[in-house]
Amino acid sequence: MSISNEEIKTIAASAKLSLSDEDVSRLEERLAVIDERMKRISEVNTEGVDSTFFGNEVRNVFREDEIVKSETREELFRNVPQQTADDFIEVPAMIEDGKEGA
Amino acid sequence: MNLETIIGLEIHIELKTDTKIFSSSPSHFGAEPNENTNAYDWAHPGVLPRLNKKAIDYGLRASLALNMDIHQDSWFDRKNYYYPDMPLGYQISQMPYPIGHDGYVDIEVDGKNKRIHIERLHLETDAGKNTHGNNNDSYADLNRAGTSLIEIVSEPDIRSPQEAYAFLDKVRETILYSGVSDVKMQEGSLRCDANISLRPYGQEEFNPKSEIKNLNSLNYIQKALEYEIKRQEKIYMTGGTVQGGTLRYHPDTNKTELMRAKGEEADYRIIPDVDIAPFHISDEWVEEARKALPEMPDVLRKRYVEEFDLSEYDAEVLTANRNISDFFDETIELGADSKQAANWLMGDVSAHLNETQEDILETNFIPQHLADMIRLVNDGTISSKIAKKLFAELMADGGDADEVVEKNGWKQLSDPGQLSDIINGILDENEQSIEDFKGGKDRALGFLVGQTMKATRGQANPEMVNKILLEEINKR
Amino acid sequence: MSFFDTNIISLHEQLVNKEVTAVDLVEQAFAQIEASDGDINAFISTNKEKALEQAQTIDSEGIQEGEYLKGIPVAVKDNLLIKGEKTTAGSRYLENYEAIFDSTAYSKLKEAGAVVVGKTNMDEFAMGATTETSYFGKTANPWDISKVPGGSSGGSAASVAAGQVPAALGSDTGGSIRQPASFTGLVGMKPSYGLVSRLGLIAMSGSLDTVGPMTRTVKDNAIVLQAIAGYDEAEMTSLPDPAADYLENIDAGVEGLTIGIVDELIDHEAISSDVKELVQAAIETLKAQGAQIKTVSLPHASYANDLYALIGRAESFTSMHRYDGIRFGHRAEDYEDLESLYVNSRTEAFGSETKDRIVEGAYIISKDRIDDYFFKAAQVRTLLKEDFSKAYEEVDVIITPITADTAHNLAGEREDQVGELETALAAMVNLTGLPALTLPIGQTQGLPVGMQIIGQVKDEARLYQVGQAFQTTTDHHQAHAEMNGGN
Repeated sequence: MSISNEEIKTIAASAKLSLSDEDVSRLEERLAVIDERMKRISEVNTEGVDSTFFGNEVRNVFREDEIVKSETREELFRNVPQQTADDFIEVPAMIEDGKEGA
Repeated sequence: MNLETIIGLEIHIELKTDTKIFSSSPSHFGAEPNENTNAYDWAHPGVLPRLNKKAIDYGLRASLALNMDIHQDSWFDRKNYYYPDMPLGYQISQMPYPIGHDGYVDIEVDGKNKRIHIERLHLETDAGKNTHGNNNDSYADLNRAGTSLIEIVSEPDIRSPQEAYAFLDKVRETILYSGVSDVKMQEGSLRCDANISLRPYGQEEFNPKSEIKNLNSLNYIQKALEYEIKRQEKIYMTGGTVQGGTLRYHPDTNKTELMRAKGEEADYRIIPDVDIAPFHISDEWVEEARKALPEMPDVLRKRYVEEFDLSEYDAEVLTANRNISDFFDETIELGADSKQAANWLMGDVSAHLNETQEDILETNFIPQHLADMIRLVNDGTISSKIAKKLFAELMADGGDADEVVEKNGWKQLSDPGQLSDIINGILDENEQSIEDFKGGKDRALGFLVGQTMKATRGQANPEMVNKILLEEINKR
Repeated sequence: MSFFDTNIISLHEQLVNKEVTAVDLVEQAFAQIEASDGDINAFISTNKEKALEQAQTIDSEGIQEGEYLKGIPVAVKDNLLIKGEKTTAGSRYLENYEAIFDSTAYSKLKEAGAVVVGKTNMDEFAMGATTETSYFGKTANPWDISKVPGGSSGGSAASVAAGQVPAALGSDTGGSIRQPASFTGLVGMKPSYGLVSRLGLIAMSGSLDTVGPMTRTVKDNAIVLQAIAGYDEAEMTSLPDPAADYLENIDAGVEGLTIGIVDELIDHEAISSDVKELVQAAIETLKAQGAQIKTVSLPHASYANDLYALIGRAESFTSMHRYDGIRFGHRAEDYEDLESLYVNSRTEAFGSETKDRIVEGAYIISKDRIDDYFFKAAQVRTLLKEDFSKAYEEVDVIITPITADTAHNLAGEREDQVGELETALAAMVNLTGLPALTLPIGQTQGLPVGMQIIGQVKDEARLYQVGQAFQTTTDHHQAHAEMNGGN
């Protein structure tokens, strides 16, 4: 499954990264290795095999619906770069209000 | 050209949990910007989610109220995209295993009943809010980020804007009744997107659809869909093809406007969220949730009409608010007559609540009070006029109805002996009225009744007074 | 000046007997750091003032017998948050990031009275095996400063191996504690997934990440794990029990223990003959002490590196979105709009390895590939888990090599086949959530070699027993780097 430079750049853009030509050619090789890994595991018979996504067997962990205050607004704003207000987080303008997704 | 309208609705509802679904920050409306946030909400490095049990419970209740099957084993997924109001860079949602699946509600449009199927109900995180500034800046408030949401997706069964209205209204009412959300569209705790396309009757595939986002009221939804149908029809009729895309509805001009053309569908790269341990909802939990659900409004209404012989209108009014219908049910259980209870609730009680803007649960008035009031009127202890005074006092100060009547000396005077004495006294002083009445002036009787009531400070039993007056007059 | 001739237990006795104070130990640590870190570069940041203050408080409180970690200077990998301190994850993106809450591992160390002297160097966002991708320069292997210390916990390894501190915390997602421990002659424990809380650990791959101790002796390692392990309600995947007592039966020996050996791994062609010999000798030592050896098979171990890459990158991709230039961390100076703010901030502030892994992750779970690349891997992961479960029906622990050869040159390259095998040996343990201990088993050509002992879930106590049995009859753990200017 060979991949074009354009596609590599598009994938990088979806991760909000911009790639130099050097980056792209390096990634071309690396993604080829990823393809090989996929090919190797494709040979394993996994019919009827469940998936393992989670790190262990811990299940059913819940917390009560109780308010707990932790970090203050001041602490949270401490690390915000180039902030002029201390209540809203300033960002360059967005197109629309609300979620882009669902 | 005969085109069929295909509509599907996606409804987002904020659950009224005290805290967010994955963090213990407060979930309520109206705080200072970024006041209800913590390091997790800001997606600092090293933070971890903690699942709010109540969110699962409420999602479960909502699913059961909508007649859905439950995925008892589930987990959460990461839906990846970038936006400043979504600090993690992914929304946490439930993709392959939504808590509820394959449900329905029944609606009625133009006298016809129809079942609208619901594909899924899943839990997910809400995003924060962005407001636009003047100078190419925007301002992010993360208070809402991470609030528990349920997303309800209908099957594309809806065939008209009226059906859409009815469906949304039914869902809203059902969720309100289930107690998991206030579903206030004006406050944003219920938001709706509509998908609409047209296709020739008989065609199996769907044509490209428009997605109309963030419709803020039931009326807007209906109007927006009506407009969009006309718009799309025009395109098909002139031989064009509908492009599809995301639209916004403008209520002032009653038009839809393209926000985003249908491009490549976003690739959300959805994978399980490994920081959130999967969970199992036991059969017991499902049963408890089912028991905790009250009777749903339409079932309730049917019962009121059939069992208590109330009119459909009365049934509607009584079930508009679950607290009122609960009150009504409890009053009946205490033995009160259903019609009288209904009249009180729809009349004096509603009037009072409207004036004070209170919910019935916030007042001192309880079902026992209403049942007692009705009993006291029916057994003649108090008059209907006094009953209104009694109601006002119980509403203001609570207490025991019989004791209040006693304390105020409000008992109706019904003793025939006492009444005849008083009446005879009145008659003695009003010979002329007796003459007038005997002479055919019925009004004279009213006058004599009035005098009797005055003499007894309104507490004489009016029927008894009438009866005894006539008797005594006839004796004279 | 170094801590080579001591260990936590002996230091503890000295503290209790007031032969030495906590302040003395902090001074000693900083003296060794000052003398050696110019060459080694184990630390990204140190805080002498704060450490001395804490030591003073501890001295005035006094140290009770049994409070092993109280007053002991330690180092912490710079992907564990310490409130009020810079926590960088080895990245330019977090160069000036001040943590606003404590990681649980750090809180527990602090509660036990350990004194953190500084934050150690690491591969950027833990994405590497040599510590060379750090924005803050490379770390050298104290045994030979032309060699890598391993990674990504290279700074923690180097700090202990240079005698600067007796113990350090690292993290292990695909070998990042065990491999550097092996390259620097240390004991490294990757605990069961969920044993040590991940709260405040900057995530690399959420279903694989663990935190664990690096020390020179097995007993020291047990002491540190004891302090940092145990149920944390702040982490949903936390194992539900409190920490076990790892010291209680640590001297029980290996009589009656059955050790599993995987032939394809022990005899793999990528392993140097020197390493093979040392591993054999180590196994013989344990046999001589009463352990039984049995052959077991892990048929899917050969896929471990594939699974690690496919699953690990995908998870990393999702964990890295939050570094977006908006709420904390590096923000580009030049941008016109939101999109360029995101792109410029991230592109400028991430090194190339980090960028590559993010793009790989995006690739692996893209719409058309996710089924074959990611979901398939999740199924093979189950098969690997089953391999181990079956093996543990026959044996108590499994021994494998951990590094196939000694540390290579800084700015050099590790042979592909060697690197592949080493990642597989390590990652097969992360993929299955099991614990594994690495021990120094000798040297070749002046550089240390380690060996891995893999246990069943929550069986750390047994791993320590095996390690202790080995260390009571050998002295490899007493060997140390020769430090210029130190002792």
